[in-house]
Amino acid sequence: MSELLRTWRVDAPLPLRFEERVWRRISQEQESRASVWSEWLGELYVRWRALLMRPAGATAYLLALLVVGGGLGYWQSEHYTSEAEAGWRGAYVRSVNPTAISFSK
Amino acid sequence: MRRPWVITVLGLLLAAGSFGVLYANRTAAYRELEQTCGPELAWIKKEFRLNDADFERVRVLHEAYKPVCAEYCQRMDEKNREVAQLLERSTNVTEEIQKALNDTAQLRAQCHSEMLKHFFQVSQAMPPDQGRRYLAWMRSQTLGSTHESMLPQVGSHALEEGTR
Repeated sequence: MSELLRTWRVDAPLPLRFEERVWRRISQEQESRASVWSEWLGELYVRWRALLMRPAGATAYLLALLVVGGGLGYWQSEHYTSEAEAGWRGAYVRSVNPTAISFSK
Repeated sequence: MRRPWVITVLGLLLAAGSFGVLYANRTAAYRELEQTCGPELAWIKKEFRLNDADFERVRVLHEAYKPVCAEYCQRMDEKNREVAQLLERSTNVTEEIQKALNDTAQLRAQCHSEMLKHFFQVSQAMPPDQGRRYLAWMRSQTLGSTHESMLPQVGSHALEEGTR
């Protein structure tokens, strides 16, 4: 059998653009092995573009960011004002109570 | 082709803008109050809703009381140091320690008396209902049974009680 295979000659010509097709298949194989993450990102990007290309989608996106920005601004300002009031209150008590100052040292 | 990117960036700018506008608007009054009144008196003005005339009276009283308070503070520190030094040197309550403790208690009583005098004056410079609320709160802050009562969080609870 080995002897036969060694002497076997293939005379038929290669199919047209054989090499190119081989490379294309290799490339397709590599692409299919791309990570799920990048596929997911790609899908997201496509959907994102599709959303923003529609007037209703773009409006919803802009409104959502407006609300998120405003909400964060409100939340941060609440934090600022409560901190400020607590600080002022403490400063006033310390400024009028000598025993508190004395014991705080 | 560029439209999605333009809208994305526009959205982010819109979010940053709405954050900035809301934050600046809601904190502007506080920043202005702190700049004009200072942190000590800003709270008085805001919490007790003082108009400019009432606030000016309170401010004058506060400024007049500050040196008195500072002097008592210094004397209290000296007395506390003296007691601490005596306690370091002895293993018993000596006559000297007893005298120093009595002096400290007497000084604290004087200090409380001056402080209360100031609180009454300030409360009288305010509208009556706010004055009562101020007095109740300051009492709970400064003449509580323990030193923990001087902590702001306990005081804020007392303040809430006072508003009911």
